[in-house]
Amino acid sequence: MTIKLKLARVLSTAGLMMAATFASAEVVVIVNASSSISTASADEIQQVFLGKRNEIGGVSVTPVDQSEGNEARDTFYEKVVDKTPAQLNAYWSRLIFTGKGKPPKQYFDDAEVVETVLEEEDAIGYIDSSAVTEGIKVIYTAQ
Amino acid sequence: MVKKKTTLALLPITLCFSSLPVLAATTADLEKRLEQQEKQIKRLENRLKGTRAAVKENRSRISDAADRLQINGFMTAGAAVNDGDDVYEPFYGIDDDTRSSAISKAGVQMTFEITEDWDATVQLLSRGANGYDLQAEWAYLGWQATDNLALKFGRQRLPYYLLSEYLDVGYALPWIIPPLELYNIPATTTDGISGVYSFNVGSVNFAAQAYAGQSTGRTEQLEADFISSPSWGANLTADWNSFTFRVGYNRSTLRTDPDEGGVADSLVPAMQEAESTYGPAYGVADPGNLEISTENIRTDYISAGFMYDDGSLLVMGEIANLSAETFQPVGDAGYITVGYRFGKWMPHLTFSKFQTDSKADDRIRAIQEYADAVGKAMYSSAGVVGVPNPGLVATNGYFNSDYAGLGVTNGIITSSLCPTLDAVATGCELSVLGQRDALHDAVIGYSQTIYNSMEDQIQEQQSVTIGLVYDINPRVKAKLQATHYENFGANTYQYLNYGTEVTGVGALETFNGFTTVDGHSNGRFSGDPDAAGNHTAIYSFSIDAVF
Repeated sequence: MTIKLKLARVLSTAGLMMAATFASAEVVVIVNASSSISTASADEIQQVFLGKRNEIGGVSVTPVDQSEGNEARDTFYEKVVDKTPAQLNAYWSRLIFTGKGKPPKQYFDDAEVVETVLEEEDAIGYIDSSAVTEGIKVIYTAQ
Repeated sequence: MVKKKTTLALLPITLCFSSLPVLAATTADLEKRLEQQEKQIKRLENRLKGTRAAVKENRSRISDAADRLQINGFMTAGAAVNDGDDVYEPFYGIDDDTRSSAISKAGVQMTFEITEDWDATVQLLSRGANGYDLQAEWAYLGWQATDNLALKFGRQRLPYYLLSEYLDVGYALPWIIPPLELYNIPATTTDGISGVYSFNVGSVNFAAQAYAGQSTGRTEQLEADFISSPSWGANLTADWNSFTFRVGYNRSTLRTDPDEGGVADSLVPAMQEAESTYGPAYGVADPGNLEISTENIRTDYISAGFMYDDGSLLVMGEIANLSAETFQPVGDAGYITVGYRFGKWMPHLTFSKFQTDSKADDRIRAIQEYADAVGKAMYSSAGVVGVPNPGLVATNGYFNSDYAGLGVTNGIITSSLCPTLDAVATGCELSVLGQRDALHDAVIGYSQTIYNSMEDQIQEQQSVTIGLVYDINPRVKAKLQATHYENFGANTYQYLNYGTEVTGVGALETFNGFTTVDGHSNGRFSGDPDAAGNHTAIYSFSIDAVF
């Protein structure tokens, strides 16, 4: 009995730890909980963050980016937008230096992105899934 | 061991007893003090809140100002060399000395958001190929009129081709030197107005752009500055997944301002004179389609391009046609580039080709034929009546007896006859000799020079480029490139053939008519590709950065 209990406890602890490990590598795309967007495709999110589209399902959105070098940023651009940091810089320099577009505003970290998404109804951001709080809706999970 | 335990156990009790009297004596006191301190803490907290709010407000004010002003820049530092000492690349200024000036450049761009919809942007560029002079490539007021429509008022890059607008941002291109066969338009900016209308159809993003303005530029091949006013154009770009497609049309009306003594400066008046004076004088019919002018020259550019970039594979290509209503070396150009990214490395390969098209060649042939006919008519008409052509050959060989014919046959020679035949080696003879030389020069001028200068405007060139790009970090790349240029095209040149003969008045030149010589044009190069073996190569390396 005691051994069984201990084993169960050990197992559940390991499970939690594993879940925590996965969670830290998982990036989710978020909007304000009051937004009427409930889900978005990777294509739509990619186009929004590359400045090619400013709405999802007819609801206008403003992308909220993270600082260069953030883990969530690298994961997001690699898995959702399919661009390395160098490719992303080449992409934006073509638009910036021709006056055709500018990259989304960058915020310091997950917490600042959450704060912005909570404050602004049309904001769309991405964060580590562990940083999801109340008032935030996840519309896409990067696999 | 037991003893130690006892001592430790007793210690708290001792402490308790010793502090009890103090506590009892000051409980009321302490409560009061605590209350005061709590108030103090609340006060401090409030003050902190105020400070925090102030800091936040301050920060947002600073970040607002910082957000409104965006500063970006790009630079290329490197060097290029041409391996042949007989040809020279005029567009970048690449010869057989390794020069950093050919490709090095730096640009800085400032954009200030005036309101949410209006912004002011200036991009200053300093190019080594332009003597590092600072020039504004962009300087405009931008207005986001609607969600889909963006307008720009002021100076902008000309959107002739797929990459024209960011051709100087080396970081955004695979090459160090773009394909010279296509990217050689000597005007980069226009002052005017443009609009971009963006819209989506399904997952395809379209951008339709139109502009109108005035441009200035310089053609090295004709050694002339030019103003194109008006210049206007439109293009459509479609983005779909990894694909980009683009078609464009541009029209401009040029007025040229040739350098004194330059190619255009000597050719245009010579040809205009041939048309107005010598052609009619020698009875050579004007074909009526020569259009030799320095003004109102219409040029049309049509281009189509595509790019495929899935992150690993890069394929891009363009074709374009340029036509101009003057003797410009214009025609068809195209290139295709394939690259593949292996992590931080990207090797790439480019094939590129250019040739003047039949429309431009026909125009040049017409001018050549006319100039040639005028020259030959002058040459033969200058002969003595009754002496077989070509006139000057006989005239010169028997100068003493037949000089008289020289003075009366055409408008160029206006000398009076020398009075007697024995006036050998007198001033009269020398004067006629001088006239003979003037006629000779005229013939060279109106036939040989024009013919050959025109022949140089019929061009062909192709190249193969291999290159390697390495991402040093997300904002800096290193590049290596080698391009082999060849196939400059076979051309035929014409020369007046003459020798020397000893006569009674001394050594005289004898003229043996026109001969043709096979050769090659220069392609897009200046110099003598025949001496270089009809090919050349350019090697370059660079470091490119953006911030």
